[in-house]
Amino acid sequence: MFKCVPCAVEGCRRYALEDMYTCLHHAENSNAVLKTLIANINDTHKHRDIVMTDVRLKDLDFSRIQLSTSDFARCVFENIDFTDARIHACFFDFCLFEGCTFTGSDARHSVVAGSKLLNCSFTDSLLIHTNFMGIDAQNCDFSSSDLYYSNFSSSHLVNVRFKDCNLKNADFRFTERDQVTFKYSNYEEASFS
Amino acid sequence: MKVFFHFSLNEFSNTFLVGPEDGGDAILIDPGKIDLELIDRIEKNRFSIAHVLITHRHETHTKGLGTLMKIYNPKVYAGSPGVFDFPVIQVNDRSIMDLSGITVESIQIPGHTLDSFVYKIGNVLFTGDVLFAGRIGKTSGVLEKALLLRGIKNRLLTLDERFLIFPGHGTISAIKIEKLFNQELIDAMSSDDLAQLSHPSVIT
Repeated sequence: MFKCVPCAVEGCRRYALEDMYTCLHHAENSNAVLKTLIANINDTHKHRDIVMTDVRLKDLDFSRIQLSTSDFARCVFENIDFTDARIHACFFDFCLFEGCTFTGSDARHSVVAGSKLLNCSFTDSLLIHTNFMGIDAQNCDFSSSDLYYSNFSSSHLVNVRFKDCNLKNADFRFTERDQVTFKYSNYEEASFS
Repeated sequence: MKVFFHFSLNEFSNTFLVGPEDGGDAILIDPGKIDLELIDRIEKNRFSIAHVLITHRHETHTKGLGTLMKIYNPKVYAGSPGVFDFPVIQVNDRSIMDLSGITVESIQIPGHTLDSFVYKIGNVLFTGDVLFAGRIGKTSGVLEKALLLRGIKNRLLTLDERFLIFPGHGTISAIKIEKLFNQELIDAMSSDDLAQLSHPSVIT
């Protein structure tokens, strides 16, 4: 499991990057550090227990990456391709995802809570036991995904599609929904307030 | 430290496997059901289950104990040893245990049951049926609910917000997420549910 080690710089409330004493903002030559981190993640090997919080990533191909028990809290992901990625028990809480594709991904047991999702696709994905609590999602598509036991409570959903999804035990209590469709999904097996 | 999540179809409960990086003695938390997938995971990681932590007595969290005892014969730790058919080590509130090199702190939070414990390992809280993502544990009455809320408020919400929550059912979470988005918890904290404990008939 990843460890939340505070950044060594006094007064900084971020967490240190994996195998480092500081966060990215306080790292010497942060651009080079970021490039190394991306290169490490982008290879085809499995990764575990990575801490990479408060980082901005743009226009990257992370398709088919394999990540588990890692922390990416408060990151900005802009136009990132996570197609067919395997992301198990990872924390993406309080992030911004814009134009990201998770099609065919397996993100079971992961946490996306408190994040803002704009124009993202999660179609044909395995999202069982995934925590989407408090998300602000606009123009997103979860169609044909397995959302068994996923949690969307206290979220704000605008123009979000859940077409032909498995929603057994999914939690939609306390959500604000505008133009949200559950067509062909077993929404009667989900919880609504 | 490796942590694995295992979902049991038996009452939709979660079982967690915690062990050292290189294999060896490991801890299993709430063995709701022991199936081949879990055994496979234990064996592939070269773990031997030396310790079992029970968050509370309910069968959905303990049903796999019999099978586990036959295979690994682990030491079992629980808040109510008397309810089991084999030797169980009593867990006490605020005790710190060294289980094969893994430090486990126990936090007793009654309410869902009297013997409910949360186990703290590293930056992870195994909350059993005390606190879930978006929900609090079910209770049988207002006093039990007040006890549960007091425990959550004083013992869990006071921890660092990045503490992770691995509950007995449902998705994993973190303290900060629950503080912000667990509407059931927010509503209960702001209502007079907690005030029930100040009633003179309640012995605390």
